Amino acid sequence: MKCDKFIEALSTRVKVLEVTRQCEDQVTALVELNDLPEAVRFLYYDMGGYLTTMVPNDERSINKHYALYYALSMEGGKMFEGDEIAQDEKCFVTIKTLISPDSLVFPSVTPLVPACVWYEREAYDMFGLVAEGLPDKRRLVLSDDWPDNLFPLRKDAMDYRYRPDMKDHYMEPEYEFLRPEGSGIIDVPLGPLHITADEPGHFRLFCDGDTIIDADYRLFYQHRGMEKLAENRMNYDQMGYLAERVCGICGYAHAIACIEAAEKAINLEIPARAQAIRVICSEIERLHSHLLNIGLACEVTGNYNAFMHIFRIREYSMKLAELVTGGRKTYGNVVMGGLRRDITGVEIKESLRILHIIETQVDEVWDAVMDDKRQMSRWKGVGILDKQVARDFSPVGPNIRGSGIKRDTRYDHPYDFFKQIQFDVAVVEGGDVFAREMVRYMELKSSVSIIRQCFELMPQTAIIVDPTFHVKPENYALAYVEAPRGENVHWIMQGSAQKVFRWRCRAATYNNWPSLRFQFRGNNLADAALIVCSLDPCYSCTERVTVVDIKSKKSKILTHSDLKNFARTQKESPLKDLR
Amino acid sequence: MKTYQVPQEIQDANTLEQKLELLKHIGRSFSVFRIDCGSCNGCEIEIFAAITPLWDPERFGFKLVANPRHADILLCTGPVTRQMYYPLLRAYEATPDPKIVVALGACGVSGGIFYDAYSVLSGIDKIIPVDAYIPGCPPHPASIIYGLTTALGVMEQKLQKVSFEHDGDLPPLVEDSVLGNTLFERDLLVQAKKLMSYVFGRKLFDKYISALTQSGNTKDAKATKISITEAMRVEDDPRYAECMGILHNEIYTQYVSCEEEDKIELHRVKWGAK
Amino acid sequence: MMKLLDISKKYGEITHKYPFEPYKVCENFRGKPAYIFDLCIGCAACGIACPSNAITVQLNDNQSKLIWEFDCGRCIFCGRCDEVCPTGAIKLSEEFELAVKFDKSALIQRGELDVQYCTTCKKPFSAKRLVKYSFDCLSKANVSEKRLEEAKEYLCMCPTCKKTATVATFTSGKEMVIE
Repeated sequence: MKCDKFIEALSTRVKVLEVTRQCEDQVTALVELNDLPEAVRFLYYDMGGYLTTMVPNDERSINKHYALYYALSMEGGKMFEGDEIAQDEKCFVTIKTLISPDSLVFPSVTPLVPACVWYEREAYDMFGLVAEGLPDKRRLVLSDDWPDNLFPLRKDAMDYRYRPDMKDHYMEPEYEFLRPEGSGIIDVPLGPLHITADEPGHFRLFCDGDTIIDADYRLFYQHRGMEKLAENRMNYDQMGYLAERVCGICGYAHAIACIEAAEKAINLEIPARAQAIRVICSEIERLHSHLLNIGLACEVTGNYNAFMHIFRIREYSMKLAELVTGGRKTYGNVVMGGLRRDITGVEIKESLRILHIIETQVDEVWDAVMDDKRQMSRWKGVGILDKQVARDFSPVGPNIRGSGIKRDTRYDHPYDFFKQIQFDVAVVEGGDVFAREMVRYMELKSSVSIIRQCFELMPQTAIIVDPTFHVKPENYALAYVEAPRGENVHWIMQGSAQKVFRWRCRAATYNNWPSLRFQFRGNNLADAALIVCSLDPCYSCTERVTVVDIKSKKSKILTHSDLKNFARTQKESPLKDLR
Repeated sequence: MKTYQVPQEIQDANTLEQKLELLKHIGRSFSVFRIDCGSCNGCEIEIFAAITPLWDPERFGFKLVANPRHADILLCTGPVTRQMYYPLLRAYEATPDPKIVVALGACGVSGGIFYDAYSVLSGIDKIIPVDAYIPGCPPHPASIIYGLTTALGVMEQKLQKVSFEHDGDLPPLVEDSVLGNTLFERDLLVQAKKLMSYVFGRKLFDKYISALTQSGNTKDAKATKISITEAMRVEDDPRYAECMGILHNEIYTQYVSCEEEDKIELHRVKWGAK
Repeated sequence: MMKLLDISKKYGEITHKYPFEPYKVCENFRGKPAYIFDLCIGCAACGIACPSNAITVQLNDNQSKLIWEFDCGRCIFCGRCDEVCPTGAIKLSEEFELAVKFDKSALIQRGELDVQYCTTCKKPFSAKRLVKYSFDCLSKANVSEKRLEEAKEYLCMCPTCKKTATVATFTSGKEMVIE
């Protein structure tokens, strides 16, 4: 059977107490608490694993302990040619360990495997589990005014509707940023409100002159408590819609990953037609998301013309989504056991016509952008993600594929209809912004071809199975979907009464953020917005920036347009009169 | 739970008359500042889509600005997470009076799907006074354009509260069955929905029933096979055609005794060959 | 750079004329759910299915009416209500012009249905329409006269009384024949 090889190797290193199999390619090995760091490190570096997700769980009602699940995707290190596990042996191995509710302490894995850092910080926020040896123990997820000893995801902590009192807004709590030592360092905060794009987040860039020497960030401004909400209010039929609203851009990938986790936990096979349509919709989502990102990467560097053209083309992909699913952004068609909306001949014909338009027009504009030397000089050599840093932090999606590592869930762990579809994984060496945008362009092309293949192979089955399946409490499984920004991983442990016991949702960007500070280092302040943008959280700019020179104690407030102008023209540094 | 109280001087500077006065003046040139109060980005993306060349709201003077101090209108999205509560208030107080606040998206209007979660405050109007609401999850760019032009008084508001208070005489809700047993229609509709979803399944159901009644005698397996096959042949859409066949084979045969030869043969349809 | 200008020239003006001309969304667009009061039987299937609880079905304060209420402001346009409605009383329309000014209550649609009181305990438990609809369905589903009479009696009882009555029938030795 798949995975056995890894378990055997693991048991030569540490004592494996128990092995359970969730489905064909997922096993869980229970280890002693003290063996945890070594077990994860061994699988990660020696056996060629990448960290997929980590799930803390309150299992006191099941086995009187808290549990931690470190899920690793066994696919090979991929650092050089041939450093990859054979296609039919790739699988997921989960290391599980139990923590006594009396001690609440576990040994941190982060010093050995840096990719775990955010997961272990979150384990404290939500469950109060302390990672001993974790270098950075600040709050990650919860708001700054959240009471210190209230851990929302503990089953007995509070009602899911409980809202502690807000502080007076003039006394807004401060977040403590990590700052580098040394004189002459300028502290540039970015955010949390900003104009161009997405999520609120707060960055501190530490600069020497115009060069960024380090960065720190406070994100999770939009923590909405979905995991607790799902455990309490939602049943399986409703969860898909909640998961879809994790993120407005790759929401559909979340919805499928969430529902497929529930399906995998009971080994439910959905009809082939539903699989094909799920693939079609998720590729449509990739089309619009990549077009959005390429457009923004042009906009941030001041190339408005290209930006407007790309957004014009993007409207075709939105039209396509509207045609196939009835909504431009939220597709709302996933339920457990299949789908809620079919595609008829009328839609297929019209879709093929729109696809043709998208394909030809994308080529035209991309060709024009490539021809523009000034645009290229802004993209090339900026925000380099080193291959070794990428190996250590398990980033996903175009971010890692732009660093020459061939990681794509659709290829490593083909799900749904991908077993029957041929496509090439887009891999570009270089690790700079240009490489990442190139990956996106190549994926646009392959998405169009994938959608066409799905239409050609469209099976003649129903779109939903008979609702005769039974949910089994305490079963759990992982599901993974390659969203536009990388893999989205959902982990579900089923509970009774049509509800989940624990739902862990890990978005693609969660794995991409921790390595961002390495991408910042050594770059010009003018490229900061571009680097963040190329990660595709579409973080382009900020509302207002305060610059403080620690040495001279001078400060200056910059407006968004100051910074943005600087990003576009690279002239007239807004910091010059501070020096 | 205690939340923000709008200070008296802001209240005094934001009466309805003053807002209407402002609207009269900003008619064809107004500055909008966008605040994401913890939304999923869906609304942000649609606002973005709405300022692209296809919709081009600068036709009516809509301009996104970078700073709340420059804004006439605050466009707020998201259910207001705890962490965004403070930045929202900072931006609100920084906006010059009188200010117009628009809540966008299901979350902004009322908290949407997150309305009772622990980490949100359920909508913009729970925190600050809101003047216009644009529902949608996320709103279509056309809805956003409509919402903004409605707020400015260019377009008329279409929705009004609807309340039905008297139970009148009921229309006949249950139709007669074509086979004299409504269970047949029930099973047929369930299967049609499973094949082609609720949107198209109902159309499929209607198509199938009308083909069935064409046969003259719905209880005659031979006659219905002929009429269904004919309906499949003339059907333009191959998906409807194949599903009519599947319905006939799976449901009809359970209610009327059929031989194996009374089933319809299904061919593989070629898609996207052109 | 010049290539982009060529592209602009090639595609010309593409801006939609909306709002000065109507805009047509795709067929089967998921717009505002439209409520047809006459078809509603108050079965509350939509209220249970709705992921964001935008639809609520509740008895009013003095328990004389069953109130069906829909808040368009909270609706996420998933179409679950449309999918589960047995009579087609709620259907997604193609309407997308939903904005309202100042008064949020313009987003609400509601209907008041007469309630059915339990024949035994006199408590309200369901809508009159639901009872009538259930009976109509049964009467057209090949059910025998005798069984139909029994159903008429049971349909007008609240779930608790129904349970008691069933137990009573069994224990008193009466025979139940299901045909």
